[in-house]
Amino acid sequence: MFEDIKLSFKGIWSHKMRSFLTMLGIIVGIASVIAVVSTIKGTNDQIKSNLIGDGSNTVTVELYKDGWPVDLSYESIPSGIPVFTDDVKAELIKNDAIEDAAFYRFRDWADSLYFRNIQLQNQICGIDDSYLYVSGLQITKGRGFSEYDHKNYNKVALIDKIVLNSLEGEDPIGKVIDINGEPFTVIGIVDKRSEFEPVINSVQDYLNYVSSSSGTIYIPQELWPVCFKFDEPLNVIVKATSTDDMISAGNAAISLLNSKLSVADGSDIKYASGNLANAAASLNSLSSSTNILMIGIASISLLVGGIGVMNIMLVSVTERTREIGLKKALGAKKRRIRSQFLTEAVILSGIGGILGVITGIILSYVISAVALIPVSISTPAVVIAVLFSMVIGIVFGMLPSVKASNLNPIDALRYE
Amino acid sequence: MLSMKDICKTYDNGKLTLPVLFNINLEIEKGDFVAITGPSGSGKSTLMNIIGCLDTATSGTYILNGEDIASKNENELAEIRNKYIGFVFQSFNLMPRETALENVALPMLYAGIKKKQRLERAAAVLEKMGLGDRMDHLPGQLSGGQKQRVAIARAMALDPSVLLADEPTGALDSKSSFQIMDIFRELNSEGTTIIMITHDSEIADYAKTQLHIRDGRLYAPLKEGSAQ
Ligand SMILES: Nc1ncnc2c1ncn2[C@@H]1O[C@H](COP(=O)(O)OP(=O)(O)OP(=O)(O)O)[C@@H](O)[C@H]1O
Ligand SMILES: [Mg+2]
Repeated sequence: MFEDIKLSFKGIWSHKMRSFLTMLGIIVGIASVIAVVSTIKGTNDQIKSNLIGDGSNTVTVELYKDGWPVDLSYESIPSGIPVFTDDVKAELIKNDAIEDAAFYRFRDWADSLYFRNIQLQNQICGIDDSYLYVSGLQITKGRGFSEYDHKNYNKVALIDKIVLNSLEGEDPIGKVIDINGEPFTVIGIVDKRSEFEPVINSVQDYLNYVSSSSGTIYIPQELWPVCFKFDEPLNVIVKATSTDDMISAGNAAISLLNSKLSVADGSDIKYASGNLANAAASLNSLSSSTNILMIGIASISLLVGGIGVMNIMLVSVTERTREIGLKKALGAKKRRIRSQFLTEAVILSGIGGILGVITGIILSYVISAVALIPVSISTPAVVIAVLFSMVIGIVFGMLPSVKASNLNPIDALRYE
Repeated sequence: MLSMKDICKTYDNGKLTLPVLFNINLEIEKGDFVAITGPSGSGKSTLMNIIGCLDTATSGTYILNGEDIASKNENELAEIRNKYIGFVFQSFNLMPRETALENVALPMLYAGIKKKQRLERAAAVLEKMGLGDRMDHLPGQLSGGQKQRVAIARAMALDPSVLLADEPTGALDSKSSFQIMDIFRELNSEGTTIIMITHDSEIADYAKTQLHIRDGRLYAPLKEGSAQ
């Protein structure tokens, strides 16, 4: 075996140019597959992230009644809905698809919302201590809520940039916002973490982005009853481990939360996620269309590469007929001759595969730089590409090596 | 040690059948040095191939070291060649990309000998052929006579029962030819059985026994010897 490998490298090296040209088929095949997979995966990841939420891989699960989100501005609290504790959160996080989870309560507006004498038209959100991280927010000025704020029922608030812009240029930190008659001191300004900056390529993207953000004021959830009602149901935001896990993370959260409900039979009250169904559909269509495309490209180019390897191995068998005859005369068995040529074919295409992967990765980054398309190298694709190129070597090396091993030693020795 | 009875060989390519050897009977004992002469096309190489187990006879029996060759399959024949036969060819047939040392070590690889022992043994045999300072040379860097000595070293690497040489001096000048013959004679004096084909009567004179083939038939020794 070791001798075969050594011999193969010698053979490949002694015909550098020819070996390289042979590998070229495999190199081009593998490189294009890697480049296509990487750019498609990169674009895909971006499209996925943009399509589904804002790129933070989060799924929001809210309470629905008769197919519509429950809005407590207009209706009373439905019965049988428990207020979840941290135990439920721990249960959620146990799921592999869920990286983290946070509880929150939400209103589109408040009856009375003032900064000084400016009336505000913003959303109010009561949040727990993990909400900012889970939803991909960060403090850009001031500070966030401390454990002490949560425990001590401190009337503090955070505002986002949109709220900030409606304050007529005043620095709000340390100043008071009045929510339903209760004074909350603004202690910080939050913004989306830059890594989650949505990519805006069209007017439609921009409209979506703007309409989904009418400005939010955040307060510690412990203070929710001060402004609104006692024991309002909690909503959940879960952060999936990856974009691909969003569907299963969302579904896991929905079924867990619904199992805690004790609503009367016949009433249609349940936790659900509005964006999940759309997300599932777009994810599936993206993955399947690119998969078919990739399999097509891969098989055609590798078939061509494989035929190239077979062709050159056949030439090499003919060229080395005398050598094969001599080896047989000296006592080499069929198996040894076969494995020598097979090893050479596998090494040839394996090296081609590795060079192809390297070329493909370089190509991906070049494409990314030139076309401004995001690139994401897929490790499974790289591993599969190299293994597959070796399989190509075995499959297409088989015919030449069997041909070599079946040569008659006398004829082979006499071959000119 | 080597015995042939009524060996016939007929080439048959489907349309044409060409009988080449007729009822060859041959006994060769350990320590013999036999030269086979005969005109071109008389069947010398064909006979040599059968003796060397590269080819099988159409009919007749061939016993080598007590083994009936006709009953062997391809892989068994390869093993027998490896163990019992040393080949020396007219055109040397060295591996062009391997050094003299690696060429000599090659048959030992097929015998399953460990690398270290292979190289030690190969070096010793090359030394004996007077090529101690040429071990790392490629065949292309050697003269014809030196190449043939490497080939002899390769043939002797596994101590064969019989050394088969088909026109070993055919590609050499007379000085190198006699050098090779001196080596053959020395090997024979040390007990190696040698069968050699040649056109050249001066070369044939080095052998202890001379056989003659004409039109596929083997004729009595022209000098004193043990065949037929
Ligand atoms: N594979 C083959 N198929 C058909 N005929 C063959 C084959 N090999 C040899 N012959 C024929 O057998 C005859 C004997 O050939 P062989 O090679 O044994 O001659 P030779 O005595 O060695 O001649 P030379 O001295 O020229 O080497 C020749 O007529 C040759 O054409
Ligand atoms: Mg001949």
